[in-house]
Amino acid sequence: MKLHERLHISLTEIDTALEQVVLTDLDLPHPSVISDGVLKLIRSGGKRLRPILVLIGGRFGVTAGKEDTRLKRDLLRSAVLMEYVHMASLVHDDIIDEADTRRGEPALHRQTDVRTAMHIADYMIARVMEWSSSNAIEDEQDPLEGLVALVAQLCLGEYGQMEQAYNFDQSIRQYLRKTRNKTAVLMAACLKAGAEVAGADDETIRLLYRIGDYLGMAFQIQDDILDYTQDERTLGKPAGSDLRSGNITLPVLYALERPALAAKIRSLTKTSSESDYAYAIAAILASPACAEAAALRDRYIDRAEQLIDRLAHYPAHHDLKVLLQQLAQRAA
Amino acid sequence: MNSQLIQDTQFLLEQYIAPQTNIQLQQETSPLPLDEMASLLHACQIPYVRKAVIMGCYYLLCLAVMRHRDVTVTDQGLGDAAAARSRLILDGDYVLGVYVQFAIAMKEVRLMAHLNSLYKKIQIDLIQGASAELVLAELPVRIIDYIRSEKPMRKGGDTDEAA
Repeated sequence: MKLHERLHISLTEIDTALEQVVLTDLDLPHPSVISDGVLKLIRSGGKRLRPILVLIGGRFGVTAGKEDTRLKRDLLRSAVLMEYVHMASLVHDDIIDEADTRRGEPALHRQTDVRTAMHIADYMIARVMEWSSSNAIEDEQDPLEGLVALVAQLCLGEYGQMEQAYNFDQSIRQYLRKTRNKTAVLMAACLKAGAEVAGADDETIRLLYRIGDYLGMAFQIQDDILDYTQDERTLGKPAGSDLRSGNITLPVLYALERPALAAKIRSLTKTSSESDYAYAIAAILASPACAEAAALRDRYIDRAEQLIDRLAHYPAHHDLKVLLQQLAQRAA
Repeated sequence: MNSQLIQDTQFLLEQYIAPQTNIQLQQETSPLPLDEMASLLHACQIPYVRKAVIMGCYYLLCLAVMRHRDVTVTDQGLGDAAAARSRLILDGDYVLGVYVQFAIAMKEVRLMAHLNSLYKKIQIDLIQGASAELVLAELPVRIIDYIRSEKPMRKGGDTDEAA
């Protein structure tokens, strides 16, 4: 059973809401390169993890377990906003990483060009800000707009990654800081946003933020492990793509602790041959580095589980456990 | 007069820019159209500090647009050009995020909501090939319209920069 099914969440409802944001934009000709690009991005699928986190966070509010049409609408608004921020950041990431594909399809900048793809992602952020504020209650400050400020923090993770490219001397602490900014912050904010919209108490909101943070850390570490352990067909990109682009992830940092491997890895540069990279990637895979990375991932999972247990009085704490198990130990 | 407001605005904004981004507001290579906005703000009957805050919102929006405008120059980037392109994309995204942070911190959320629609239209126009300078030209007008449409709620504070 898929994650959203286990959590009783309708992806169709989320996808319809995502499409409505662009389809209801009266300033946009339909069809156009913009609407086609955004709709293609939405229709290319995805796990919709961020919207799911918002909706799960919303199960910890004052009306937990009761039907509330207004709450449902407000949660969906937050979910849509978070997914737009995420999708737009992926478009820019693909340009920066010079990725050819996304979810097995040509990346947006390969379907169009760099300039068009970059501005389509800019449009997505601009449109979702406009859409969000136009749906806010008259004369009330819209709390959702603040979520767009997260973009700055996501960028700090990317600056960190760029600055540390091919830096084999970076510490695990630096890697974790970068990972937190790049991934965990947004996931934590999603759980928190859902809980806030649902009127959860401060302590619950604080706990959910920390759970989202640990979950995000585990999720990204697993992503970094899969980059080595999965084949090209499953990943939709060559195995070891992170290392090939100079992105030093946790498996590499653990591999560098082995002198015999370290020399080979440290010799890699932007201009190293494909066979040098293939050898290093195979050597990392054959070493205990991925298992050690998995052990750190599991420590984050354990921490998250401990916090989830503190929310055991909410029926939705089971949903968090489902999320945790399925996401952090996913195979793809 | 204009240069003082612009300088004060830069000083204010620098508190919001993280050092690891290496974004230096004083050393912008792409000139931003700041003078006209500063002149228009001078004519407004609002406290000087608020002029600097509104100027800051305008400054950040312009900077975000101009950073991404400059990406077109290195569209076919390889090697160092690709790295420069990546930095411009990141800078534009980061500055937009700071714009939202700044507007919220300075209690200018209504101004931001007022500008959301225009900011989106700017993006549409840019995709359709309009020049950044041209699409940004409407921003000062829209900002001044917003200030004039406000109910006189904010009392106190001096309305000239000498205060």
